[in-house]
Amino acid sequence: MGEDDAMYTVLLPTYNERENLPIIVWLLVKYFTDAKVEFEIIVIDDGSPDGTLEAAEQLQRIYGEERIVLRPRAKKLGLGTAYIHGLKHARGQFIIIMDADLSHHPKFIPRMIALQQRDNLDIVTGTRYSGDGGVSGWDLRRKLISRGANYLTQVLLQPGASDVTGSFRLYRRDVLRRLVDSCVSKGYVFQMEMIVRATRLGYRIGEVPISFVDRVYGESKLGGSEIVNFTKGLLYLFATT
Amino acid sequence: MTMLMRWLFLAAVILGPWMAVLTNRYQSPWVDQNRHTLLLYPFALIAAFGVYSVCVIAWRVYSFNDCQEAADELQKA
Repeated sequence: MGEDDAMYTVLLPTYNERENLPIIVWLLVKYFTDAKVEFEIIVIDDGSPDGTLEAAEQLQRIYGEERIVLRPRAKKLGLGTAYIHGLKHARGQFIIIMDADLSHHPKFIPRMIALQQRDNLDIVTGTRYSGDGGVSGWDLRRKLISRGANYLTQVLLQPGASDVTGSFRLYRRDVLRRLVDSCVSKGYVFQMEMIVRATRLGYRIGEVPISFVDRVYGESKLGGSEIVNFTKGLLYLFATT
Repeated sequence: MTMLMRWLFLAAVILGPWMAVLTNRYQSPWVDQNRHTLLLYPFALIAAFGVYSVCVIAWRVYSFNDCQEAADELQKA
């Protein structure tokens, strides 16, 4: 397959991540270098007022323009379009999407790559819900909502993955392109739509247990509107896939 | 076939015969003997599924890993 020398592109959509960006980039560089894997990091900043873009420019000077690619946008335009925007310039045959706020640790990426290569997969998704996977910083209420919503999704959609709303994944580039084009949802319902449609299209999906650390330096939220959005997304996919 | 269609199909398979018994369109000595049980059976299925679901969710909430060491690891980084 010649995938041993494949290149990997990390898409990092950011909004007010000035504090976190240097840490996440440093960790990414460390783990990719240790694994002897070719990579680039595309930072898609949506006009953060806190100077995330300036921080990214500094990182570009440190690590080089080959490694850190800047694709800023003028304002917040949503996750799906951020991926489309980043994909236009991605050079890697494989794309890794993750949060830039340090909820996802780059140490799991080499495991995702290894699993993809071993089983020749189209998608490897990080999962909080199986094996050694888990969360940090969630109270009982949040765990209950999360598990309940996940169970309901498994029953109603049979999504073919244990963590449907997770946003730490590795995609074959062409697969991600096709999926992004066919998905219409917003926010983390978007992640759910991506994986459900991938399963329906017959793509091969694998899972790596990950730990999800909830917003070490930020604040987390799970309000009523998020639950409404999730329910809408669930029903939409239930009726259309 | 969408998931909605699958569930409607399943509901039709279960509720079709049940409606036939309920409305007396299908009659047999066996049905007459077991009428009471037969009329309860969709509700029993739903209740059993509900109990199963609550147990599964409760177990999964209980066994949800707390990754404190992962948080500590990031704080150090």
